[in-house]
Amino acid sequence: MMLGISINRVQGHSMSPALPDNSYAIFHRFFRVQNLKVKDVVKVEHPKFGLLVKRIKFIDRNGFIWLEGLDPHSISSMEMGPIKSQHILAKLAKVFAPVIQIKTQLQ
Amino acid sequence: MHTLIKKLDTLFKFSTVKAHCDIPCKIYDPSEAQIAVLTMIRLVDLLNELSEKESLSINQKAQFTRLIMQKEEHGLKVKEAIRVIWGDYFKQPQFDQFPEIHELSHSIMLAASSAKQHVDKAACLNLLNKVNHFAEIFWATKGIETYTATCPYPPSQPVIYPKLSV
Repeated sequence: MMLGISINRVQGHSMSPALPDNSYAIFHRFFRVQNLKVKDVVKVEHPKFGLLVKRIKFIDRNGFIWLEGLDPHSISSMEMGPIKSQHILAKLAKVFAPVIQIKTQLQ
Repeated sequence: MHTLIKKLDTLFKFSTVKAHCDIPCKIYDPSEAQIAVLTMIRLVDLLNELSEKESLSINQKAQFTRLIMQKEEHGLKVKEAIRVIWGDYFKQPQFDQFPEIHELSHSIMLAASSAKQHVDKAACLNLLNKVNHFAEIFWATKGIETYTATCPYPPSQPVIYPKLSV
């Protein structure tokens, strides 16, 4: 973490294709908790699963944040459960995905 | 840019954020289809060797029948392996990434049928070309680079392999 900016390597497929496995994500801490909104991609210190990158699914009336993955095989929102806003460490700013080019040609 | 950050990662060791799935993740691998096509090509080579003989002994006739049966069976394996990956693994995000996968999968079904119907090496090589292309797309959806190498056993044909080393 430097000046509120951090870089992390993404491990796993649950945020694919937006954040594919082995991509690099740049996060920032310049956000207000009250401005967090649905579909924001965030870095979370989850009490059970550790350091995660997930998308905000919804924020309930008690202010608890529910998360989701983009892939259907992601651990579910129910498994992750509601988290407090202080567990949100940073918001996604930029993704650098590995560039895979298709080289074979159909004959 | 990704390459540059990857180099920085080797120096600074960025921490990992997990985007993990339910454990265990479903296992899909196009190598099953690739090996089945290579088997078909090898069987066609063996059938062509038999066809060069003037007459066949009873054992050679039995071998001929066995080779044909195996070619049929492996043609079905290709179709089944591709159908499962296309039908179960590929979902909207992957379709958006590679919209040609529908046409490619269908063309593999037709090419596999053609390779089954005849003792025709060209038809099997055409099938291998398509299955390799499918494999390359499959690995690309997982962000895994691939390379082409000649398989180290008969029929010594080019095969797409994933680069899995770190």
